[in-house]
Amino acid sequence: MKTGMKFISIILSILLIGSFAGMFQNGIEMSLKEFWNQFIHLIGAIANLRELTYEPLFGSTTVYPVFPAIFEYYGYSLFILVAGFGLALIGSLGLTYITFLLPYRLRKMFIKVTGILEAIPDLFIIVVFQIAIVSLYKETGLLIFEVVGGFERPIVLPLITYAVLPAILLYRIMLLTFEDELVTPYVELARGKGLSTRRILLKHVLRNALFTVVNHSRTIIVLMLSNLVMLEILFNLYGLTWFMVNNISVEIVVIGILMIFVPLFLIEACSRFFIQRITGKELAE
Amino acid sequence: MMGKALLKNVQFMLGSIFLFSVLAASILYTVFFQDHIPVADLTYGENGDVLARPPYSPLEHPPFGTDNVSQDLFFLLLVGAKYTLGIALLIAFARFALSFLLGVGLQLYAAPILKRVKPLLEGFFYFPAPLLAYLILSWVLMRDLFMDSEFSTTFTERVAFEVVILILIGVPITMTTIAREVEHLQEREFITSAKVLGGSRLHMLKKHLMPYLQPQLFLVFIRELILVLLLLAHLGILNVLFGGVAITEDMFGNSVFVSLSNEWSGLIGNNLKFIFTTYAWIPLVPIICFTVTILSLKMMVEGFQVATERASRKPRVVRKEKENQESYNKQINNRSFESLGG
Repeated sequence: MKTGMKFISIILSILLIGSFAGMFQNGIEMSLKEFWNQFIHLIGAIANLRELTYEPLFGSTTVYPVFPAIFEYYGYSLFILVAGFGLALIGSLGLTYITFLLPYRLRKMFIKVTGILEAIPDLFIIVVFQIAIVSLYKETGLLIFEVVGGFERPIVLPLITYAVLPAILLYRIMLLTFEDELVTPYVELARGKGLSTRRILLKHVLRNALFTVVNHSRTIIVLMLSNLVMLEILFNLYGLTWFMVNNISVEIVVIGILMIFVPLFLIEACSRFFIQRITGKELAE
Repeated sequence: MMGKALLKNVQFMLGSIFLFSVLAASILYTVFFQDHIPVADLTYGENGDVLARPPYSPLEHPPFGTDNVSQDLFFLLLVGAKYTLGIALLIAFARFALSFLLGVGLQLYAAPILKRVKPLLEGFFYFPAPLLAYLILSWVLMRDLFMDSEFSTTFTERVAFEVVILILIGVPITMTTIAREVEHLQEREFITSAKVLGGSRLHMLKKHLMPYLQPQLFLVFIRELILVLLLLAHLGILNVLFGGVAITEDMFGNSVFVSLSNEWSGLIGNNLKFIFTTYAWIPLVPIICFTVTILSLKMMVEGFQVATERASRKPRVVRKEKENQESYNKQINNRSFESLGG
């Protein structure tokens, strides 16, 4: 019930933001009446999805229907988003595991360094990866990955590039929570019983630490969404945000955002539900 | 106490000294050299033949090389620094001030209304900031020009519009953050006792909330600054240029757009097309500048957190108590010595 209300209010909120943006699409017109008109217009556009059109080239006279063409872009973006998060999760888990086999001082240093590294702008990472691959190609004639997208929709390089930042964030969160978990009584008991470090980390600590990770996952997803825009523009990937930027209009952007929001919200709600069932802890809003 | 801890903190000092010196150097350069940007010539050999021509790489023309219209990139960035940092400071501060007033005001005086409004602000989490800014700004700053090759607004109007929009789209999330911070503080015990003793809300804010809120607010401001810088860089990639455009001819005779103020995000947007050419450094240099600036801000944040932790771990009262204890111990020793002698 509560979740349902939240779902509806966020959709309403996205529509309101869209109507606000609508006031500046043909001159600057700020008035409550215009805001209301835009809101009605937006709801009308969503009610008649089939009639929504876009111009593939600016100023061209031919228009194409947005649906179902948009689904191809949408599926690709959603895949990159989910796979990127998964890759970051796996990568950071592996890194965390390795880090906890290292001495304590080194661990402290890693926490400090990642605190600063997590602020690296996404475009810096993307551009550095691109230049590295291109210069490697120039030196050796060996093109490991496709650097620039298009209708072929490359996967490997964009995914790796995309996963770096969330992986750093997750890694830091995991380091901090693992650090906290390791001094809890149940870990001491497990140590006292003679369980190996590996077993304690993988079987007991990880389970409890995942709880904190899910709690933070929202911030990470938000970050990943804004990084997705840059990724698709810089790699010229034909994904949903690329489509939105290149066919910029309030209707297309609002519908695109709703299309991203709905599955993300459902995933979040489900994982919350299950984690609450499993751990019995109440998750923070 | 706090100031001393900050001065001793290497991270914080490094970050702030870097930022301050970049800003100061940029402003001083304007004052003493009137934004003069050196232009590199062709390099001639002994008998007058052309050996090399711009754009020079950072190796040929240190430290940063030249761009495609053979301007020295180092000075270009130096001149642009004060605009970029100035705009970012302005926007971040306005965002921060607005969010502070709204967040604290609503939380203290109209908490039930805030609770109702909050879900309606959640949509901002799902709107990527660069996309939202692009959606709102693109007609006024770009599409207007493409329609009939002329803007219907003046330059000042466009800049003002962009600044206002960039301020507004950041306020909702920051406001909620600050309100949540206040809400957490309100649950503390000392607030309840202050309420029982009849303190007004303003009194409570001044005397009881602010001491705890102050360090948090500084962090919120610096984080906002990072977000704004990042947003400016993203908008540069999307070719939303601050300060409008001018047209010049480059070394190859093509007419190209140049950002008027040499503002960093404009430099990225203008030169992004070189990223896959041999001249990759032209867009890379401003991107690195953004990165270094953001990292130094982040260092300030981390350093500040460490310093506040240290400062709060050693409160003055405890030290005084320790001194008392020590003097008391001494007394005992003296007295026991006396009694032994007697």
